[in-house]
Amino acid sequence: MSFKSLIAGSAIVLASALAPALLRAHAYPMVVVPADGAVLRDGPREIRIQFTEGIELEFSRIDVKNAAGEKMSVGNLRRIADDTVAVAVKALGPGAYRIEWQVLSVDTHVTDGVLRFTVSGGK
Amino acid sequence: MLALEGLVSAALYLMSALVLGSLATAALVLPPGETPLRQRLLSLAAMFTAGFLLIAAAMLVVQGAKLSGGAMPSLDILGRYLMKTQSGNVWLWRELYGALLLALLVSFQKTGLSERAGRWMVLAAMPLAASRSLMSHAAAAREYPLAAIACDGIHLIVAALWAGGLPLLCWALSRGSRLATPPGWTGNLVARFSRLAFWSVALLVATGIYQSWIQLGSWSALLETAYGRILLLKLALFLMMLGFGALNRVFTLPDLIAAPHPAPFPRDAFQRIGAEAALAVVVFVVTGFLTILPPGAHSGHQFAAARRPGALQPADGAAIKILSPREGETFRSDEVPITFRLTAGRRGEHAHAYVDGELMGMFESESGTLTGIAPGHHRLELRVVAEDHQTELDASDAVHFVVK
Repeated sequence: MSFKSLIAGSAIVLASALAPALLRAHAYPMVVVPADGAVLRDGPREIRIQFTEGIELEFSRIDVKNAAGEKMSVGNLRRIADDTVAVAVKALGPGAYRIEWQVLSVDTHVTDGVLRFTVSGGK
Repeated sequence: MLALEGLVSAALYLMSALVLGSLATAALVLPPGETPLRQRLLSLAAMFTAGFLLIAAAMLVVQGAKLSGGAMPSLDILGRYLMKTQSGNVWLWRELYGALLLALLVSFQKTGLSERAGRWMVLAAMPLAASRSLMSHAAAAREYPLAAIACDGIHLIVAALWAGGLPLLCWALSRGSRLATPPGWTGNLVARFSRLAFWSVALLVATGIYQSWIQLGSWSALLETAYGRILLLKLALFLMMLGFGALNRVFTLPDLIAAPHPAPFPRDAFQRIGAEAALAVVVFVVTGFLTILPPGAHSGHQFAAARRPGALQPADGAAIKILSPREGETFRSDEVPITFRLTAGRRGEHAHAYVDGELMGMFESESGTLTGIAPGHHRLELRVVAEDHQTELDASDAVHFVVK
């Protein structure tokens, strides 16, 4: 096998192995409170996410938005542990909410995603 | 962006390996007394160090672009990244260290590099090669991060000594064949490199196995994740390199030692060593892409965040026992330390903690702290969970505690 064919072969294998990765985001929330898709009787006081890796607060954010897109989270992101952050939210009435998150992990990767929960108000 | 990041990452690996490889060739591989070649290798080391600093600067711009949603980063973004993040701090200090190393190399170009000073320069270049560990997947390891970083650092250093030294060995052989070298010079050179390579490969294998174990997390991740597939490719290339290395040690080295002197450098021997060197470059490119992929151990989290528990699956030998808090224990802050004993059984891997039915944490080690617990009476339940972070087993324990 010549080196040209070796390098070409490696490039093809590399490209095919990477192809699915290009479609995926680095999204690793491990524990989310409230959980994704949860239906809650009462609105939570804060949103808390534990990630698979340590998080850099400086370039990380969690925004909670109601169905109208109004931001319901208040204050700065709070570090609970190296890999866990929380943000306080206003009193949430019945309705659907989105948690939009973006974080920079200590190994320099930027990841983002959206989680959802619903407050039923006891109905 | 991913392809660009991978290429810049690979170039950075290659350049740091060439810095250490050229210095190691100058100080540890060249037989004593080869001043002209040693000085030329020193010049190459300085050139590679300058290249390293420039590529690291390009890497900073790529990182800034990632933080700016793909756009050219502003100075404000770059400044905040450098000053207020761990990886930014590492970049800054590494760049300063690299500049200092470059200044030393330039000064040695003027004064000449003694063998003793050369060995010190090899040591001085090691942190440059290893510093990447401080912002790698190893830095983000959940368990024993210091061990993971140390292991990754050693892996990078020995990879640079072997794979980074190979192209420089080829260069030295090529140059040496044109100079009036003493009898046995070529064989002596290859034998000295071979000794260095042997110990480097031994450490490379040991640290590589440990790294793969903590980053993959499971055998299935080897085939089911992009990280695992790239790792397999790297392993295949590494084995090919090892094959060429063994070939060179068993056949090329005795040929070179037995070759009459003076004689032109045997072309087939040069090709075999060159093949090993070219494979080393390909391995660095593949490694560059490995660094930008999510480790296989995280693949279970890629598509979904933690979920509400569904039906519990059979325990299959798994069990869990809460050691603290004790039943009825009272705490005076919102932080509740917990310890437990987990029996993994066939499928268990870690524990989920529920407070009053709400998922509040995940524990991979048998101790930790729950935070933000409101005053009042609470029920803590721990459940054993499978490796996929979603399958909860019918293995749980519960206690009640009070926060005042």
